[in-house]
Amino acid sequence: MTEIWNTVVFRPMLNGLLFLYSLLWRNFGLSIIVFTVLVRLLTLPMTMKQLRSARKSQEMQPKLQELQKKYKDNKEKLAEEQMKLYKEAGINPIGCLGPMVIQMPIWIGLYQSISNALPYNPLQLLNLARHIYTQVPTLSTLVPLNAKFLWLNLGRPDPYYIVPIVVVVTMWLQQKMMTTPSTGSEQEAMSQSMQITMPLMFGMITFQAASGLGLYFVVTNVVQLIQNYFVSGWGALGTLFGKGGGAQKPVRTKDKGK
Amino acid sequence: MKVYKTKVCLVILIAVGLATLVGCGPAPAPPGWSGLLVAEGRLYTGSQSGRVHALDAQNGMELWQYPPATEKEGIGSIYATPVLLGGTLYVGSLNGKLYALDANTGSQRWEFASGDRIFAGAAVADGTLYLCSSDHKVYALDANTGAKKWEFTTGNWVWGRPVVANGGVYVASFDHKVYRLDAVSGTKQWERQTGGALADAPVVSGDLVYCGSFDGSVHALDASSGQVRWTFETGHWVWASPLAVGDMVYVSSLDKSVYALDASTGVKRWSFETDGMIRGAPAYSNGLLYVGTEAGTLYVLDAASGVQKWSAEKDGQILASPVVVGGAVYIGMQNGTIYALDAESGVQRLVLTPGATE
Repeated sequence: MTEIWNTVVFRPMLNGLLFLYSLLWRNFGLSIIVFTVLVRLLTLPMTMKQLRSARKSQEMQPKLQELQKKYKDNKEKLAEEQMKLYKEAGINPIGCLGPMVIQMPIWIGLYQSISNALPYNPLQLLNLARHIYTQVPTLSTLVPLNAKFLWLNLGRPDPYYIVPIVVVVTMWLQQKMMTTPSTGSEQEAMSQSMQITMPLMFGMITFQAASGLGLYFVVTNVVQLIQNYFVSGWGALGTLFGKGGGAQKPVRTKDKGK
Repeated sequence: MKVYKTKVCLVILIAVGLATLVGCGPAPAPPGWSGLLVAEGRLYTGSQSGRVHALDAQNGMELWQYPPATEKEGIGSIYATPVLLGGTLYVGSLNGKLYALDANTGSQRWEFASGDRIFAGAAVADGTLYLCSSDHKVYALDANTGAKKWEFTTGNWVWGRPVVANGGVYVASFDHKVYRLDAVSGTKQWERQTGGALADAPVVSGDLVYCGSFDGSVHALDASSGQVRWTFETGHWVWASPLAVGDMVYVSSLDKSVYALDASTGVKRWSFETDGMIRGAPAYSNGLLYVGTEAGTLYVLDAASGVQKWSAEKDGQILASPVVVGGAVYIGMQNGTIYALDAESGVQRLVLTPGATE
C-alpha cells in the first residue's frame, strides 16, 4: 500500500516540485506557488461543478425552508422530500466534497514532499535519496534545496506566526464567501461553528508544520476566493463589506431554468 | 440536515487527518546514527538521546557516560564519530557544541559552541583540533583549551569531518565544493566544484584526494592543485567517504553496490551488489572488506576479487560505518544496538547496548 502511494502520489509530486524548482530560479517558494496553481487548474472542472452545485443549493433554500415548515414533525418525510428536491434539481448534495476529497491526498503528498525535499537531518536526506528520480540526473544536483523564501525557512514552521494567521484569515474569508443561507437554527449554528473551527484547525496545522505547507494553504485559499468571485460573486462577504447584501453573479449553468 | 451533517463530519475528518499527519510527521523520528570508535580496549559512541558512552570493548560493560546518568537531560543527539587523542575524547553534538572529555572518566575538560549542529567528527594534528559544522564553517581550535585559532566559511552545511594532510585541511561541503585550506592560517589554497553536494569527508591518499558526491560519482582530485584526475560514475548518490587501500579505492553507493576502483585511473576492478543502500563507508582489515547496508546486512568480501566470504543479517539498519579492531568487527545498528562479530568467521561475540540503563 505504501509503495503504491509512493509511486502514484508522493514520488511524482516530490520530483515535480524539484523539477519546478530547477525551472524557477531555484526558488522553492515560487515552486510551491506555481505547483498550487497547477493543482487548482487540474481540479478546476470539479471545483466549478462544486461551486455551481452550491449556487443551485442557494437557490433552492426557499423551497427547502418550505419543506422544513411543512414536515417539521416528520423528519423522515422531510429527508425524503429534500432528497427528492435535490434529485429534481439535478444536484448531488455531497457532490461538493469531491474536490476536497481529491485535495486530501494532494495535501498529504505535498506535506510529505516539502518535508522530504527540505531535509534537516541525515535520515530525512536518506529518505529523499530513496524517492528522488535518479534517472533524471539534474534533480540530484539540486540537493540541498534553498529553503529560504521571504522571511521563511520553508522546511520549518514560521517563527513569526504570520503564515498561520494568513491561513486562518484567507480560509475564513473563503468559507464566508461560500456560506449558503441557512434553513434552520441547527444548520445555522453548525455553519457558523464550521466557519470558525475549520480555519482555526488549519491555522493550528500550519502553526506546527513546515511553512511551505502553510504557503500552499494560503495560495490555494486565494485562488479559491478568486474562483468563487467569478462564479458566485462576493456571496456572504458582500454583506460583510457592504457590497450589496450578498451580491451574486448570475448562474451560467447548462441546466439553468430546468 | 443529514446531508449537511455528513459534509461537516467529512470536512472535520479531513482536517483531523491532516492534523494527525502533521503530528505524526517526520519530526519524532530518530534523526540518524552515531559513529563508533574502538581504541585502547574501549568502545566510544554517542546516542540519539544525547549521551556519550564508553564501554569495555571485550565485555560490553559501561565504563562511563556523559552527561552522567544522574543528569536527566542529554546534550543533543550525537552523530559524530568520537575522536581520541592523548587521553582526551572529542565529540560533537547536534546542540552545536564540541565537547572535550577525559577519556578515562568522562568528565568534561572544555566545550566549544559552533553556530549550528555538528554532524562530523573532528581531526586533531599538531595541537590543533579542526572541526566542521552545519553553520557552514570550518574551525581550528587549540586542542588543549578549545580557544579558536581561525575559521573559514563555505557555502553550505559541512557534515563530513575535515582531513589534515600535507600541511593542508581538506573539507567537503554541501555547496558541492572540496576545499583545501592552509592548516595554520585557514587561508583557502584551492576549491573544486563537483556536480553535487558532498556529505562526507574527503579522503587523502598519496597525491590524490577522493570524494563521493550526490552527483552519483566519486572524484579523484590532485591534492596539491585540486585538478580533476578522474571521475567514476555510480547509479546513485555517493554519500560515504571512499576508502583508499594500497592501489585500490573502495566506493559504496546508495545504488546498493560497492565498487573497487584502480586508485590512480579510476578504472573499475570489480563491483558487488548488496541488498540495500550503502550509506556508510566500507571498512578494511586483513584483505577483507566490510560493508553494512540499510537492509541490516553486513557483507564481508574479498577485497581483491569482490567475492563474498560471509554475511550477517541483523534487525534494523546499518547506516554507520563498521569498525574492525582486534579481530572483531563492530556494527552499530540504527536502533542503538552494537554487535561485535568475529572478523574472520562472523560468529557473534558480543551485543552491546549503550545506555541500557538510561
